[in-house]
Amino acid sequence: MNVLGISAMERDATAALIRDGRVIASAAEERFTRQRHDPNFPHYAVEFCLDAAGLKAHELDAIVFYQEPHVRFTRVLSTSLAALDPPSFVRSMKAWLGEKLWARGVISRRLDVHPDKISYVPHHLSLAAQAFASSPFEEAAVLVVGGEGEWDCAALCSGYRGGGLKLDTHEILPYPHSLGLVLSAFSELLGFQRGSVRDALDLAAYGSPRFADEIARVIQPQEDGTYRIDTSWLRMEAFLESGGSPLTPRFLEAFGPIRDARAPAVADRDALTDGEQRYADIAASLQHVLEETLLKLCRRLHDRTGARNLCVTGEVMDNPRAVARLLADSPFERVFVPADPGEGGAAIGAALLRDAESAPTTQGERRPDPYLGRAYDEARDAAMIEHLQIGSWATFRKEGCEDVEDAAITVERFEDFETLARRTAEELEAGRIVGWLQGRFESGSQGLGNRALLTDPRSEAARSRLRERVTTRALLHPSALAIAEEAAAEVLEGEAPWQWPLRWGQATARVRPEAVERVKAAVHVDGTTLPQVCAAEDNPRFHSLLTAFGERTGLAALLSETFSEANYPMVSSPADALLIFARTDLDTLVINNILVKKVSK
Amino acid sequence: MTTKPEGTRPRGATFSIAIRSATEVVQAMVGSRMAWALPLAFVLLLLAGVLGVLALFPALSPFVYPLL
Repeated sequence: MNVLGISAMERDATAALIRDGRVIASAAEERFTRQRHDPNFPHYAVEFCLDAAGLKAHELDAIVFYQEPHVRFTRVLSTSLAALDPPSFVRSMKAWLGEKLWARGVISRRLDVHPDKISYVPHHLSLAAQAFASSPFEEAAVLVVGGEGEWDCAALCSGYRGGGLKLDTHEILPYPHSLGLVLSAFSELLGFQRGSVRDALDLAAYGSPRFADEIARVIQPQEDGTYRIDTSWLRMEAFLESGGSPLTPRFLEAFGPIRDARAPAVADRDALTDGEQRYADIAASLQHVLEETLLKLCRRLHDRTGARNLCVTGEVMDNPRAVARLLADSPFERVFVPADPGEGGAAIGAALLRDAESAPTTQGERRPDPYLGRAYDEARDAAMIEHLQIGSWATFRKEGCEDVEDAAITVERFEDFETLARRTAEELEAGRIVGWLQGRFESGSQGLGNRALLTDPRSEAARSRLRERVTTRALLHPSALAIAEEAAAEVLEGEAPWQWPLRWGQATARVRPEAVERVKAAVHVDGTTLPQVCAAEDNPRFHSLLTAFGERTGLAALLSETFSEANYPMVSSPADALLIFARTDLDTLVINNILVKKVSK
Repeated sequence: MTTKPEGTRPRGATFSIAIRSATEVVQAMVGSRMAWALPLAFVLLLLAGVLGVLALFPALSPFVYPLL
């Protein structure tokens, strides 16, 4: 059975194709349109998924949308009416009655498929299904904590595979009690875009939680382990299509004016001004309250299910510090986070659930890895690279980057991958910044070894150059540390077997004091790093590169960041990577088996 | 007249999809204890339907699309 899952019209439009319980392909539309968080109908992503499966749209057995738009409409209508704000009401109704409500019609028309093939899956079940099905567990409790679904904002579920993929919903925390929306509001206060909660909470490492009591007046913990949101602090209708700020005068009076996003980025605590310190303290307080709230939800879920394993998902769980806290303090023995815990992952989950309904014995593929995107043809890469003309780059170089007039490029092709890995390790040891593009691109927001920017983790200068001259991302955001499984215990506190979130960059971990100097560029201000503990079976090529670097330097670890520029999606194709290579001070680019390098004439 | 392959969208599906979606909205409103807002929803859906039909006429669509 071939099932296409679609999430669209809100954020991170994504398509996923499932065949008999196996995930054949999944991709976010942003990877093709280059518009970050693209919410539009995932035309190119669907095209890619159908190509990967060798199907035409009308040959699909089922198409499933990740939420029930008619149910969500009732909530939007209710919120719009409650706001007593005619312009807001008109904007919301235009968006909903214009397109969003008619998801079945839109899909049927865009793909030219029979409407009877199209069905809807409740939002929280779409998320829960992806988390549980891709986990390695036979049974698990599933905690979904997102922004907003139909009427659900969080859900306590459990999953088991006995003879098929089964999910039970124990409890729903309904709208308006949404941690995701509160985090979005605070994100705006901290000077970040509303959807950039993870970036905003990176400030938390620089502060102390002295505003925790004030924030607990917004996110109110309950004795039963749940929480309530006091909506009098926020304009909830601002989260609809109405635009405007959700921050009320009361909120701004309590927490201060919106932070100036142009304020200089900081790399250490001592550099913070008093004003910046206040915002860092608010972020730390928010992170603290969030972690406590999630822990209480976990305890409640554990009491209900008695499960030993936990799957967590939803956009709120894209928070490595919170996941690390759950690993350390929740009552569950093992924790799993799917590769894309946001709306994109819901497309996979919806399709898996629809597939499981039709084939009750299908258990869903246990596939925790994120490599579900498009791979690119090497012959085409080679042809494109032959046409590179460095002389023409001067007109579109990024501001502040070195002049390339006196530079040339060299191209090396390798038949043997091990030789390429050794050659790339040599580049990295020399302090050069390497763009690494291999095979299929990742689901989710993180580059995990197939679309990565890499440097030597001992070199803070290389990291600064990477941030200033390539990604233009503020230094306050932490870097990830990719490390071969065999070397992980030398650097990270803890021991093998490493929990899943530590293998896929989803949880922070403390660095052993004696190892800090060896990976100092990847150690955050709070003494943690974001590890990707890479086993050979997880990503053989990336593991080979780590090993080759370890043979040269004594530690098989690299500073790794997502292959993208700030405010752009992760690169997808070699053409995207070459554009960054041409525009920025990226020194070396490895595309599959080809190494391209800038050199002085 | 060519025959469309099985599994493709039948001709004239727009109307049946709209009716089905409207029915789902009514059911969802009753299920969400929002039956009191059904008259408003009915007016909104009717308005959307009328505008949708008007948008099909090329001479009118430039004036109708901004409203959708």
